[in-house]
Amino acid sequence: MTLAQAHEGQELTVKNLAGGFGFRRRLLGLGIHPDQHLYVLKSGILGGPILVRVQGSSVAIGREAAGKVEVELAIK
Amino acid sequence: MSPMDSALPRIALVGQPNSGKSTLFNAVAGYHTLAGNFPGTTVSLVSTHVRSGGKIFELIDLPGTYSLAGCEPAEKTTRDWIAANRPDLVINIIDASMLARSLDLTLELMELGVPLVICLNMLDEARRKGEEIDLGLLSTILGLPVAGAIASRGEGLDQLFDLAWQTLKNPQKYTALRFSRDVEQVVEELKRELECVPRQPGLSDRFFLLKLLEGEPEALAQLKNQAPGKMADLEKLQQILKDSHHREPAEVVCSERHALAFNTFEKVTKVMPARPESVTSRIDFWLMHKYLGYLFMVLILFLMFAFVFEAGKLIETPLLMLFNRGQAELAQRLGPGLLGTVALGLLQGFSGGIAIFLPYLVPFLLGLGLLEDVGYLPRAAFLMDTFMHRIGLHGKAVIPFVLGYGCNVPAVMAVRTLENPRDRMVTGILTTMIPCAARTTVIFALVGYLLGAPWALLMYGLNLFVIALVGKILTRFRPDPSEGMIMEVPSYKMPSWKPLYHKVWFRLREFVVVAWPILIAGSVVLSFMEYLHLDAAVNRALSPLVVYALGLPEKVGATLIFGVLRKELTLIMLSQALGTTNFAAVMSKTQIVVFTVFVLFYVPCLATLAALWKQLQWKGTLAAIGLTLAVATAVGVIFRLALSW
Repeated sequence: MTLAQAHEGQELTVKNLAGGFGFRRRLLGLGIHPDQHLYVLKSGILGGPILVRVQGSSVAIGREAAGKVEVELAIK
Repeated sequence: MSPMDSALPRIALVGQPNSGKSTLFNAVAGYHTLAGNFPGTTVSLVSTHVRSGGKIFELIDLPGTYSLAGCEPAEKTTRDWIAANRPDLVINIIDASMLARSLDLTLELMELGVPLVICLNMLDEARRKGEEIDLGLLSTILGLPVAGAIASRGEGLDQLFDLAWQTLKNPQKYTALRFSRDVEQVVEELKRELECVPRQPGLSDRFFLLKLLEGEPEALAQLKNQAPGKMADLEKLQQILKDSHHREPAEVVCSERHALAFNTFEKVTKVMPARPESVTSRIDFWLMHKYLGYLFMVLILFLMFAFVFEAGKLIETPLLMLFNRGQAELAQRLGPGLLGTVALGLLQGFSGGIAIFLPYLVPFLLGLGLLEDVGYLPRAAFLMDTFMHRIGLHGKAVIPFVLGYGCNVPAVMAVRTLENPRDRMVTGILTTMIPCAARTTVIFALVGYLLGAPWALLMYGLNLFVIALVGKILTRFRPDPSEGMIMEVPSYKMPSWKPLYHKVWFRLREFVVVAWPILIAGSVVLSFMEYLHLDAAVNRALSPLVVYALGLPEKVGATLIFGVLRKELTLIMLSQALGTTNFAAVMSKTQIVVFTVFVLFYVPCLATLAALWKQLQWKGTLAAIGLTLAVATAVGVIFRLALSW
């Protein structure tokens, strides 16, 4: 699944990043790496952005951009 | 971008956004008046002289950046500036509460091989998170001097600059941390292959090699240019990384870097037992709530505007009285001659500026600065992203829009917070169509008073609809080059007064320097026109638009010109032109609506145009004038036809 399909309160693990070089570097810069653990804090209504907690900071990612972040549910 | 004084040692501040870099800079720069402002293409660099312990150096505040990849303006500015200017020292400011992530940039700076000192800022924040960091151990692992600080309280700054001075005197040699063996082997191989290829001056060998492996466009272009034959070798090596890691080479290198950073973080940090939920996440539960978040947003904005208008009224009424008396006095003394007219114009422009910026701009900038410093604006951007998306923009663009309802000038200035030029252009132009406080008075006094409140509301609704429509068309012209919003949402912070005061003053100065002189000059020109009785000629010249297209009385023409000077003048000049304040007696209902609609959209005022010029240059300014004129005419004609039908 992609991050765009995630629900509030889900614990996720990043699998892969799609998109261009600049886009991926931006995500990497914010700590969103493959194998990184994410916690979905908020999911905006009407296709709004997703807010994730990653390495202690909160990052908002537009729904379209979130569609380029492949994730899976984290095994607890 | 030449340094102010090349004899002084130059120290550059580099850090991720929200690492407290600018707070630190202002804490030191605030005591010195020698702050220069060097405008770059997208971000400006600020530099100051710092005196610490009897030594003086030049301190440069580089834009906050997450990496040195060179894809975004901030990254590119920082990287290119370091390469071109070779500072004597770089202080890497780190938010200690985000150590794991921040060290990625530190490692990249080490690859660059610049003389480096680490400053762990916001140690209090880290402690609050339950993290105790061993600065000595961090220094040993990295092989770099490390200082701790709490810049917001001015703690640790003297020690930091002491350390910086010592490092300047005896630069320490260090080596960038090494990656896994297989990756290092690939780097080695590439180094051998490219032995004879000239490097970009100012950047280290390792930095260049890693950027090539990462596939960074600029490095690739350079290699292609200088040694096209080596591209195949590079691709072969990239393929090795890809095959062994099953990932894009960029991710391989970044992951290696991050693994090193994370390892270092784990070694130097003792994490205390889990703390209760942070204040920020408890507040955000409500303020960023799916549904209630919007309610809170409306409430917060309402409170802010109520504050601005109340404060504005309180100051404006006595001011206006004073100016009116002054004007009457002046008119009486100097008479209606040339001198009197020009002096009156001067006074009008002068007082106009004060009447805008004192009552509305100051409370507005104060309110905005407060929301900004507390950290609310990124939350509003998060909530509005989905709606802004529908007109082809991102959440961040909502901030200028909100500002526009107070005054278009700070709104246009705020577009600089947007990353890409296309968003700045579209948002800047759309922002000028938001009815500011002055246009609000026109709506209320004409349509609201004469036709009733529902009509006034309709005007606001219509305005939003038209802006959305124009936005949709404009963004269709220039498709979105970025991939949507990616934005860190920082923790809430208690605002402190000194930086807030500086921020308000800095923005006010921009208004005073840019917009005010133009306002005064424009005012004088207008009074000149009046003196020469050019208004009749203006009315005649404008009659094709005013009379034939919009169906308004010919006398209204000159009023519209005054409206460009200052929207507040519209009503006063209208009553002067028509010779009555009882507009209903001389204008039909349709004419009142058409006039209001036209005033709502047409050409932004001079002060706004000056701000536009500064942010978007002539292209954006001309586009805004043309577009607003076209939109105002089109909507005016539509209303004329619809209402008379």
